[in-house]
Amino acid sequence: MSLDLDDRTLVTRARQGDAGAFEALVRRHLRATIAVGLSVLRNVADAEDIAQDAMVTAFASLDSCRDPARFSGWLLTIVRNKALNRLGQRRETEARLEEGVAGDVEQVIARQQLLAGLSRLSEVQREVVLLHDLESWTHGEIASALDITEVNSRQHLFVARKAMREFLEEAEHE
Amino acid sequence: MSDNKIDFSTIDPSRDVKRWERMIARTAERGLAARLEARASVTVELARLSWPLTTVAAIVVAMALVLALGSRSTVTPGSLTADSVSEWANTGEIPRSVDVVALTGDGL
Repeated sequence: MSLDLDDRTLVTRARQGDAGAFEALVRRHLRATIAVGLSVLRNVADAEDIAQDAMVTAFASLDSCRDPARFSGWLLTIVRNKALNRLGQRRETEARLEEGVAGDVEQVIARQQLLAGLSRLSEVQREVVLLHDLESWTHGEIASALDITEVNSRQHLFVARKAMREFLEEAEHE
Repeated sequence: MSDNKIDFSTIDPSRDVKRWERMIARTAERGLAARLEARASVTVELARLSWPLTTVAAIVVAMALVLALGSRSTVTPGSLTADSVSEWANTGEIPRSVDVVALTGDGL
C-alpha cells in the first residue's frame, strides 16, 4: 500500500476492509497519536498503549469519521479523550516518571528530563512542540488537527521551546 | 526555525526500528479485527431487529391472502335473502357450503 495515497483514499479503502490501508494509516499516524498521548500522560509507555488503543477504537468506528480527509484531527481527538480518561483513572497529580526503562543511564536521565520539562508546559503547548519537533508537522497541519490558528501554533511553539530550554539548561547545571 | 528544534530523540517511539515495526503491524492487525467485529455486530443487530418486522409482514400478507380468497366467493354476507333459499328449494339446486356459511354468518 503506497504511503502516497491521501487519508481520504486510505480511509475509504480501510472501510472496505483493505488490510494494507490499515497499515498505511497506522504507519502515517501512530507517531502523532503517541505524541498527543504523551502530551497528556507524560509517560512514554502509557502514551504508546493509549495511542494503539485509540487507533483500534478509531478503526472500529471508522464509519463515524464524517470527513475522511481530516482523519488525523478526528483520531487525535479520540486519543486525547482516551488519555484524559486514563489520567483521571490514574488519579495522580504529577506525571509518573518512568521506572526500569531499558537503555543506558544517560538516555534514561535525558528522557526523564524531557518528560519533566514537558510537564511544565500547558497541554496545547506540549501537543504543539511534540507534533512540530518530534513529528515534524507543519504549523498548517498542527492548526488543522488541533483546531487553532497557525499564528497560535507558532506562539505556542515559541513559548514551549523557551520553557523547555530553560528547564533543560537548569537541569544540566544541577 | 527547524534548527531550533528540541531534541526529542530519546522519547522517539520509532528509535527501535524492530519494535516500532512490530507495533505498527500489531496495531493494524488489531484495528482490522476490531473493524470486522464492529461490522459483524451491526449485521447481527440488524438481523435481530429485522425478524419481528419479517414476522409482522408475513402476518399481514397472510391476512391479505385470506381476505382476497374470501372475496372470490360469488356470495357475500348480507347479499343472500330468503328469496335465495326459496330459489334453491324450487330449483333443487344444492347450495355451495360457502354460500350457506355466508348466509348464516355466525349463526351456525
